[in-house]
Amino acid sequence: MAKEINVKEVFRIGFILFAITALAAAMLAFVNAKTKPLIDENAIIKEQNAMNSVMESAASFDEVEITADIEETAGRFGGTVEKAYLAKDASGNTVGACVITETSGYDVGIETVTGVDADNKVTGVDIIAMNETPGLGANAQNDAFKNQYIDKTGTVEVSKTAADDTHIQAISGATKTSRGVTNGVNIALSVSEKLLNGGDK
Amino acid sequence: MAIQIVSIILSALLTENFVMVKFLGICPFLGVSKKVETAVGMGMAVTFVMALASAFTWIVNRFLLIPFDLLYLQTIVFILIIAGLVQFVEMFMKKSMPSLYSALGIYLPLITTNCAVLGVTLLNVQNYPDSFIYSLLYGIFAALGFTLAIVLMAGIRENLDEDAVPESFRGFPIALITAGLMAIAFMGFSGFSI
Amino acid sequence: MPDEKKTVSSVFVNGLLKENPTFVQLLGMCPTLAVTTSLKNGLGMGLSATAVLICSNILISLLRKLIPDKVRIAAYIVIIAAFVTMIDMSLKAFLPDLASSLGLFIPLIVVNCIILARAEAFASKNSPVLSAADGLGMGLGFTGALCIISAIREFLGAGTVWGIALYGTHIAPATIVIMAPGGFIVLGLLIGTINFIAAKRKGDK
Repeated sequence: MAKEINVKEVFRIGFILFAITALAAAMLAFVNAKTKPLIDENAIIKEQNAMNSVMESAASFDEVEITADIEETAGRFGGTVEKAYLAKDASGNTVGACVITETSGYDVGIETVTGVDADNKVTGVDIIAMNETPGLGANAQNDAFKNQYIDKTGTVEVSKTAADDTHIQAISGATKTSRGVTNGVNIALSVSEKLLNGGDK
Repeated sequence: MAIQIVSIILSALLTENFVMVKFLGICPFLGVSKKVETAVGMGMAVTFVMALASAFTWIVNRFLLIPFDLLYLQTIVFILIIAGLVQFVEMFMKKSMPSLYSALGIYLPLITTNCAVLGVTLLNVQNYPDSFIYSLLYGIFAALGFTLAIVLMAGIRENLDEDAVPESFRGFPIALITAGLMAIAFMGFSGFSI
Repeated sequence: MPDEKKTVSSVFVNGLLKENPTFVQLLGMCPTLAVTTSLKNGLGMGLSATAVLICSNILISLLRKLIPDKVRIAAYIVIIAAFVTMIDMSLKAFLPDLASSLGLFIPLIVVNCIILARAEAFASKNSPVLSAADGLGMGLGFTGALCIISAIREFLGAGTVWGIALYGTHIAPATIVIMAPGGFIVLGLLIGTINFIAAKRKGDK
């Protein structure tokens, strides 16, 4: 191999590499422009569907600003509030609240939607996203597990043996996931109590 | 803050070990784990590159991709940064640290296609987009977790060579089964989080 | 290796069986282990990788005389990463459920050694048509392997195949099989068995 550097050669190589990269970036920009609206729309549809399924009595949802107070409440249960909505019926009365939370189970990123009615009772729970183990934690997606939360109020706890008024029964082999979802529900319960009874119109 | 740091270290090193739990970096884990010595070399090279990659990609993501709304270029930009870094580290080592280069040199080009490196940078921007320190820590300890797994594996495989393993299971298959048993052991750490 | 004449079908079969990327060449182990927890995921991953492999093989083959030798790996990586990102965005737009269950492993197709290995070993030396056949064969070989592994793991570990419950609630499935250790062990046993069968057939001849 010759040691001398051929300037022309270097420029040629650089130019070709640059052309390939530019071409790749252009193609990506094009595909991104085509798919971005669809991706955003998918996320919104998914959220809407989940909210409708946890709060059947609601006709529309008004997004509420997430205050430092709400964030602090979520922090107490080791999670965050992604979005919070007030649920309105067809004539515009507030019938409850919907809170989207993010908590951790076996892995990070359990996104839960919880509907809470005006009496501070859970109307339904749905999980939008999670990375839990299929066959174990992912069983949290089953209705049998999610429906345990309905009508719970105050603070829900996880039991390994049996469910009662304040406890839900953990998925066998996936206590951490069960705790993660429960934390999300508890955040939702305390946040909606603030939203619904805390003088909010 | 302190608790968060301990929790990142524990999860990156043990409970979410890249190789044993997340299945990242399997190719070098199986390919370069025949001898403890080479395994240590590979582990060190990966740690070096992963720490640098975590730092660089975080900066690029935070100050270029996010402000210009170019998040869709993440994968392509990150892999180029990693490839560039590996090349740079290789040239730098060759010139200024020839002894280290002769020990690690042959592993360096392999690191570009080690999915643990690209994996850690993508996980970092997903989990810690706002914290440089957390990203860097996660990168370093995930790499040390990789090193731990590969060195342990090499220790086992060195002895495995002399055992009476059925002919068709020699080499790769028995290594995979060994890895499976190690993964079971690593599951024992899963209660270990803060 | 004998210098036999390459035809589209011979190249295709070669990728699918003789040099199966997963069972014979042992490439692309990370996605093989990580996403084979259910048949749907395995098939999704396999087809995504196949799409990337075909596209990158064709483009690299077309550009093979243009790409300078010194920077060929960098050029390949850029091309592959571009296709992977396109697949990633399309999946998110059209199949959001699959995209979320494959998660990180879609962008990680970039570093799947199968794709770079085929670019370097095949596409950079052969015509676009042959490269496309090679991409299809290798891709489907990879997909087939993922389907076999994921069907076994899903059946033993979750008691379902393609999400359909196969043996009631009376027998508890061995969940460990779809967790991390199960992935290693199932793949190890499978490759061992294939070696065994291959050795036996050779012995018979």
